[in-house]
Amino acid sequence: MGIRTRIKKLIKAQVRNRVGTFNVRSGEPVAPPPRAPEPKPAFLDDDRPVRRVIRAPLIVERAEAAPATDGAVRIKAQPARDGDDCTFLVDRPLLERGSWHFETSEDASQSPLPAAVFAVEGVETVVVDESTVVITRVGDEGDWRPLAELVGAAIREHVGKGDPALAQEIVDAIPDEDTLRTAIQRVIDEHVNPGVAAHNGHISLSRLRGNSVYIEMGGGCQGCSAAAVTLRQGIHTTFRQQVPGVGAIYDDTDHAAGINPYFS
Amino acid sequence: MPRISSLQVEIVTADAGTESPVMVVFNNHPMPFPQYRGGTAAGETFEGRFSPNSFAHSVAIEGPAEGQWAIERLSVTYEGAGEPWTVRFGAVTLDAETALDIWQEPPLPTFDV
Repeated sequence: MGIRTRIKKLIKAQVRNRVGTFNVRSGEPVAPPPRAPEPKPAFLDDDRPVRRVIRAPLIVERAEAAPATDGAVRIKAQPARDGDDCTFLVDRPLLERGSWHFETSEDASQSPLPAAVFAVEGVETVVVDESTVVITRVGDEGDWRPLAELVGAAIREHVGKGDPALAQEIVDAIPDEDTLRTAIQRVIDEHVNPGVAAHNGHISLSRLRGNSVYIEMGGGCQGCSAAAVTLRQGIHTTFRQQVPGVGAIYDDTDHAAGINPYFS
Repeated sequence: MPRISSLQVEIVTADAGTESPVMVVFNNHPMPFPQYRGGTAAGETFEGRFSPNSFAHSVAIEGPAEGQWAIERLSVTYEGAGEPWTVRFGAVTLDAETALDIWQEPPLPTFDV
């Protein structure tokens, strides 16, 4: 193959690799022939009616672990998706009723179970609720497993002793549901919702279980990436400052519900 | 909001079937299943597969364009970066004004301590 032929082939290859149509001799772009617009597929029709999003009953199949025949205490650790807290699921009740939040180790000094958990270095806060313990940690990065194993051992040791989990004065201070419902609703109306209204959000009391509070987030809060921060730093703090005796606080919101969560 | 490489649905129709194509709505974009077998007549089972390779914030199944579609049960298997997870739903009836939310986050990992 001669040198001229090889150069021509090289130019053709370079032209082929460029986007568009080009003159083979000059390498200049050539306007492509006009193309008829492609018909829009029916399923991408923007005029489709807005549908109401519904949910079917979710079928949950739990693989129940066989009870330990040797009396051993089984504990599973479940770090939150965002890594901010870790829940310990114990295979037996820890409290007869209610739940309680301990902000500091001093708060827990008379309560054997949270005191044992606070004794583990790195634990920041503790919530005890029925058969679960939820902790946050000092610092917020890294694998939960080393700390979780120490906390699990502390819980197991406490259960083995058979001591009550909470101080009696705390058990006596757990408010009844009616009192709590009224107080929480007042705080939502007067403190929480005026704050989140700036983001087109709103908070509602979903339900109570003893002194455990379940809230739902709506409007701009539902599906918002900052919902967890709003819950922990805003709602938790406000509830606990304004309403004595609030135990665990949970988010009942389905943040993925709807075709377009977040300002849906 | 995990990345979903593919999702596979299995829908068992109860006594009211539909002739409408089964439409999956991924992040508000409706489309028919590119791969499917079976049907949605009464008593039939539909299996569809879709590979969005994208981050999911909502996934739904649209109701039929006309009439009602009674679903006896439905399961969805999501595949992403980690282990696949399956979500099962019970009976529900869809129509031209409704869509069924089938999105569920993957279960939280747990370990014994």
